[in-house]
Amino acid sequence: MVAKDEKVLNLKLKKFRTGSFKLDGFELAVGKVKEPSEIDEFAEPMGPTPKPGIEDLRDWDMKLLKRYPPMYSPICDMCCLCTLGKCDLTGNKKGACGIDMKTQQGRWSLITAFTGMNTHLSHAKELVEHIIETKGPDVPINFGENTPVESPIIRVVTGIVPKTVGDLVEVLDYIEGEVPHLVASIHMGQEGSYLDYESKAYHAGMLDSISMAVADIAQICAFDMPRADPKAPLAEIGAGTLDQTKPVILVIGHNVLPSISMIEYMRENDVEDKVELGGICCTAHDITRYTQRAKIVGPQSMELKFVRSGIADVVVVDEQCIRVDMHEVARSVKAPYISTTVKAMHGLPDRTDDDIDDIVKDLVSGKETGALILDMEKAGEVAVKVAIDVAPKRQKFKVIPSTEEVVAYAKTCWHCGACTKACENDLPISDAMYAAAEGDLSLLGELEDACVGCGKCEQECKRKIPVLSLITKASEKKFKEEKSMIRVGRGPISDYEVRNVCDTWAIGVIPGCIAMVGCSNYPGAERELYEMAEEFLMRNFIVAASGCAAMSIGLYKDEEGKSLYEKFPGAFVARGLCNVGSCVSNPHITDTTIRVANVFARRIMSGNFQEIGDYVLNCVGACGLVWGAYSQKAFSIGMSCHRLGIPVVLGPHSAKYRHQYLGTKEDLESFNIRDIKDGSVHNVGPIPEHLLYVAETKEEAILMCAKLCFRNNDMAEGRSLKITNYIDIHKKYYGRMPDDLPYYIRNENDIPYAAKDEIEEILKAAGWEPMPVVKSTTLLDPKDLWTYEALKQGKRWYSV
Amino acid sequence: MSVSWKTGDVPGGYLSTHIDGATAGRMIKEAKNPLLIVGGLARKIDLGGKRLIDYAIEITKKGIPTVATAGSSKEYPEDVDIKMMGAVEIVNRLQNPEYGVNGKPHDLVITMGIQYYLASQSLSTLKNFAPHLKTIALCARNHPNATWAFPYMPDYKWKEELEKLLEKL
Repeated sequence: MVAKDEKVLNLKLKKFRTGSFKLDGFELAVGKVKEPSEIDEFAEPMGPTPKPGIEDLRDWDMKLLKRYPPMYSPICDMCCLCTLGKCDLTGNKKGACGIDMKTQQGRWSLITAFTGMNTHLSHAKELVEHIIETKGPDVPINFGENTPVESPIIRVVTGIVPKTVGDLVEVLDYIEGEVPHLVASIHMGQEGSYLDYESKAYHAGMLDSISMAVADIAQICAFDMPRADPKAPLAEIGAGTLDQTKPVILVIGHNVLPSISMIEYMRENDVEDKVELGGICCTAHDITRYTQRAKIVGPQSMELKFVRSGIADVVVVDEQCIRVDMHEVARSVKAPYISTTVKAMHGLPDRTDDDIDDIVKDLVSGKETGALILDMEKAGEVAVKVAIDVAPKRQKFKVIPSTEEVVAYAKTCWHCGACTKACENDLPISDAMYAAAEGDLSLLGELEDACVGCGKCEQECKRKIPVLSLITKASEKKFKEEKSMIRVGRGPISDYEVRNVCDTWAIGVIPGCIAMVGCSNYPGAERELYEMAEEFLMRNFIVAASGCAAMSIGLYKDEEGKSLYEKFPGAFVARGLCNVGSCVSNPHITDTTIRVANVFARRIMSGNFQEIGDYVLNCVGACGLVWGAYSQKAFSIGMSCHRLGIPVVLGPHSAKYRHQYLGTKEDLESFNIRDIKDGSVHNVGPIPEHLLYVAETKEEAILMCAKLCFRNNDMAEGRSLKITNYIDIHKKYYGRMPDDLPYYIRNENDIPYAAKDEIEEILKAAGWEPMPVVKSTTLLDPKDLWTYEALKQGKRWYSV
Repeated sequence: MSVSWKTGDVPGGYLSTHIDGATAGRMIKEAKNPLLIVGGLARKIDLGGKRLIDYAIEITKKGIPTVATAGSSKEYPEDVDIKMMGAVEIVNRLQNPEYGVNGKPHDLVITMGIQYYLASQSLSTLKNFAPHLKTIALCARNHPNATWAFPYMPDYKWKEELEKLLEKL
């Protein structure tokens, strides 16, 4: 095997004759012979920004922010971050340090994104360090022959091609190197520019994407989770899936390490059949990726309701989306509580170095109600032993009242409305209490589907009514019987699958890929997730899912008793429903857009973020839908999408994130693009119209997602199909034709035949003129397109 | 000064002033170029045989320029002139003092039927970044970020205030 451009031998033969054998003009060049371990499998030239610093992608950010300027909605008019204040910034006034309201909101963007990013960074670091410590650094990164590019986003951001888990340390080192600069800019608002704060928030989001990628790559490869498997098995989901006759361990959070220790201990000691393991939130996804014996209880909103139900005999928390008061809640049902990370020590005694039997004895006897155990193997063994020993004592002790108690509580209600005032979804609790007082619990039961399980109603109740427990009791039947199927997190989406759809996707025949991800702070019924996913699938979209959203989609069934995961394939195809896994699996979805840029458009990946982001924004019809986003992590995941050119639609609660990135379609100049061929400036419509959008209702979200999948390089057939979808959804939910069609129809070829007359009338009334045809568009100066510059320099490469 | 509907929605020192239906009606009538924003929730709120969207349509029919968001357009008769856009899209445009859905700058914005927290955040945008505008929230769940807002009131009272408002237009 020979490495390029390292010639050590040249042999030229003008003429060679021997017997009947003739050879004319023969030339042989032999390079330096390398050992197999020295061969570079990835021979792309390095792009301009490997391991970018804050300033390196600032120009790209500013281009995005000029087109999609942040619209701020302060949730607090004050700044109380230093002793010069507190300062009132209402009306964009300046505070004592000189910061105005806009800059303060930009600062919050960075604070929020940065918090989310570090959460995943910490998670990734803990996983990688644990794997290196227990399995060594040489665990190979390998997703099979169909997925030769292991992590597009890591290559695009850093230029690193990790071959082993040990190689991921370099990625983490790069991220950690960026951290202090981001944090320092928050101090005293010293950054001073809201746009630069947003740029830094993008930077944090981008770092978040590679933190997540590191975490998921490491766990997939070290623990043999499904590797880019479109036929990943189905797993059970729902509170009713757990066999309540057995001891039950409930794991909550995002870090699978303690859970794996439990599973391994159960296997080694042959008690797998004797103990049930269920999870809430992303750890639940990851345990089913490790063993199908594990069960998914549901999304984060289930935490309080489920633990109060007493089904769990032991509660083990790892990290991230865990309720702060979970120890107190577990204690109320006499379930021992184990915390396993330095990030959430919850004031518990550190038992890491104690003898296992002593810890078990203390927890089972009730001498201690909880323990901090930072040794994963020990935590796993303790959890299993405690579950087995404590279950007979607990007898599923619960704090859910009986029907008679519910009625009695309801009779004490003053109907003051404080509970509804505190409830973010304005649930009509008072009406339900009136009915319950008469013995009718049905209204209380109906509240469950739109209840996010926060418990604020109880905090406000002057009569100390445990409202959430009453709702849980009233929906007990559903709670016990809820059982459905979800496809296990498949991990990456293979190059092979992307190759098969990239042409139809990139030209618009597949109307788009919708990524339904994020948390469970839904504005209405949880069932809306199922309904939205079904609508996109029936309209030929690709639907990818992860996290709590993936669970909510799976919790509901059709009339035949089938979930969407049972009805639609798990492959990355039109009408495919791919569950990639937990929150840290999200980059597998965004990676598909990079794979299209690389596979379909031959764009260089390594260290070439700006060009890839530009391609995705212009060419790849993808849109995120985060209907219940509430955490800082969800915010930073969104930021990682924006810098990569992917729009995101959020649910109405997310207006409380304080900012959106909105375009204004009448301002056509702000949507100007260049023709890649000659750099000439054109306008081909306000596409995509927004980068971050808060929708008011499910119907608006569906419509906006479909619209935000329009792309500049849609072929006429593709654009026509997308417009057909847009019109159809608009008529269905808005009752009439959309009034902005003239912005999206470039020429007559884009007009759907079925509505031709109607559309032509609209175009005529609007004084519509055809737009120029530009096959390949860019926001950049074409000389900044690294791929073309490299081609001009005579470089040739292969990415895989 | 008002008390917010949501216990935690306490934005700062500048909070809305309570207003009744008749006063709101007079203000709308006296405004140079008011704008009504009708949210998707308006279709779902029944005020004793008459929905909130029906009141919105009546206000629009009095000649008030209207933006219907999130599918509330579905209830409007085809011959009633409205604009369709998202709540966040119209609020974003209203930061520009020159902007008007009818080509003229607005001086008063009236909101009704938008999800509480989205409305609250939208009114926050206008309070902080559209100083050229006054806002009225015709919601029975009091909005602290508006200039003027209905206080919290039960549905029958809300209906009464909306009737009084219509009488003044």
